[in-house]
Amino acid sequence: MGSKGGEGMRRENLRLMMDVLQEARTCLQADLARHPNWADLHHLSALLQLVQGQLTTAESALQRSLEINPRYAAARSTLAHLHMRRQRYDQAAEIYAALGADDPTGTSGEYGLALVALGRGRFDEALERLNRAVEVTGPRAPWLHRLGVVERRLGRHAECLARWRSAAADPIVTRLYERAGLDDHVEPDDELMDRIESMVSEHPGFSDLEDYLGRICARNRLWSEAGEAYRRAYAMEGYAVRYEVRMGLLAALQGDDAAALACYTRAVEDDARWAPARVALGFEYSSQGELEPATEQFEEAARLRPRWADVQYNLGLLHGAAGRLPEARERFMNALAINANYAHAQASLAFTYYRMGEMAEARKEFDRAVGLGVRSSDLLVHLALCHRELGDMNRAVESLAEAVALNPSDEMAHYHLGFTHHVRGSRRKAIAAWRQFLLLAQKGPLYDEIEAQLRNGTDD
Amino acid sequence: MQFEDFRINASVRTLLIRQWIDTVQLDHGTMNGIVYLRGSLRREMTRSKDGKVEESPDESMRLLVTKLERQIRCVRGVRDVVCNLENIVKVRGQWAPKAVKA
Repeated sequence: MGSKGGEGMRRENLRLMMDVLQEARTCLQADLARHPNWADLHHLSALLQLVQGQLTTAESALQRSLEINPRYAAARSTLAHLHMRRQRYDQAAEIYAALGADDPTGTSGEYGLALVALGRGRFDEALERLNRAVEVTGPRAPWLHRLGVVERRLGRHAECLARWRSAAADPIVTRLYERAGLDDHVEPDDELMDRIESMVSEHPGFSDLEDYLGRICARNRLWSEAGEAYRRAYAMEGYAVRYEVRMGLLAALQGDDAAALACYTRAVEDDARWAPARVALGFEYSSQGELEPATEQFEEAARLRPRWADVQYNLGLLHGAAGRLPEARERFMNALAINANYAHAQASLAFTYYRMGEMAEARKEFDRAVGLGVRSSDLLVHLALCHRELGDMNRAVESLAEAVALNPSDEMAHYHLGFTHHVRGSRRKAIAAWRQFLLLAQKGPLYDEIEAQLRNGTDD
Repeated sequence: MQFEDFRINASVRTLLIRQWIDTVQLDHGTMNGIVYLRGSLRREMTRSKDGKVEESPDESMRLLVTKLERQIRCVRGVRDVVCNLENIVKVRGQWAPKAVKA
């Protein structure tokens, strides 16, 4: 979090960062008051306290997080890091070994045990374990940086700088290294080496905190500071897909749709199997009216995470827009199978049945939607039309009357109420409803039709 | 109208994000060009451009929902906005806070 340049700029950056940390603390307290059983919030709280050296309270927050979710890998990893800071190497090693057993790639275990070896001064072992982890993950910037740290511990100054310069070649973090003072032409002294080393925490979990700080900055319109926080998060964890999704959100917040689309596209290119990136790109395409590209992304997201109800719902909207009604129906039903109280999926399912001409099914689903609290004059009008198609005029009138009561300015409710009364032979009521329609409606074919009805009189 | 629901829904999502609305507590959906908002309308903490903390919560909520409704109505294709909110209600055309159930 330091900066190159004058002492004044450094103090200003420190002041800004301290304000952001204070804001983060305040926001977290508010979030925790609203969601006391969210393990990730307690984990964030622990990270914040660790940054400020409050190890005891951090440990309490971590214990609370793990009480809520004993398998929360990020909190377990942070607890191991805390043990490391207290030189409880055996306890840290136990956690890292367990994390490694849970991790299919094994890298989290190797990396954690490399840290333990580093803490114990077993530098060759640390190097060996890190190299094994890098064989799996590839030479990502954070790993190269940490390999450089081990090289430095081994007294291999040139190898250390080579690792850090390789890390700095990653365009996402180049500026971070430049600002820390890494230069191809200048041999850094110890103070500069310390600053570069401390730029990337040994604990990747701090990336969650940087992400949170980035959001705090973005909320307060500190756009470039938010970008810096996201770059620091990437520098610690190395997942370009997450970095691009964060930057895409930042662009969207500033109204730059083209930049948002570019970021989300890069995110999916980096990791096509991360569903949130697919969803972000899908929503961006959707907001720009790109039906088929959006559908492609949501279809893939649904394949990757079949139990994500919102993905199913939005896929239903997309298929509905394309006229693929059976597919739309299936997606809305999937959403409801995941969450039976998903009111919008329920209402959309009803509308889909209506469009398919299946009035009995549509009526049933409209009733369910009303039961879930979805009430609008438009929905009630369509329910009434179902009743009418099925020959139930009394219920049709009831639903239309309810629509009119709910929204007296809905001209279509008056229009259909008029025709329903007309079919039932209630001429005066039909005329009254149509007159209301004419007061509300704009000129057009329906207006002309009702004018003609009133001029010619209704059939007895 | 259903041909535009997917676009409208995504646009509304963008508006909610830009206003830092807590979307865990607020659902939104679009049917037939009508946007539905359900749940509790809450905002994550922000400061105004001059750095001042937000005004009283009631006033802030009124301003927020009024602005949000206006923005949603400006989205191309939106016919109406139907709100079923736990903490704020429209009475005679004006938004007013509602006591939240315990």
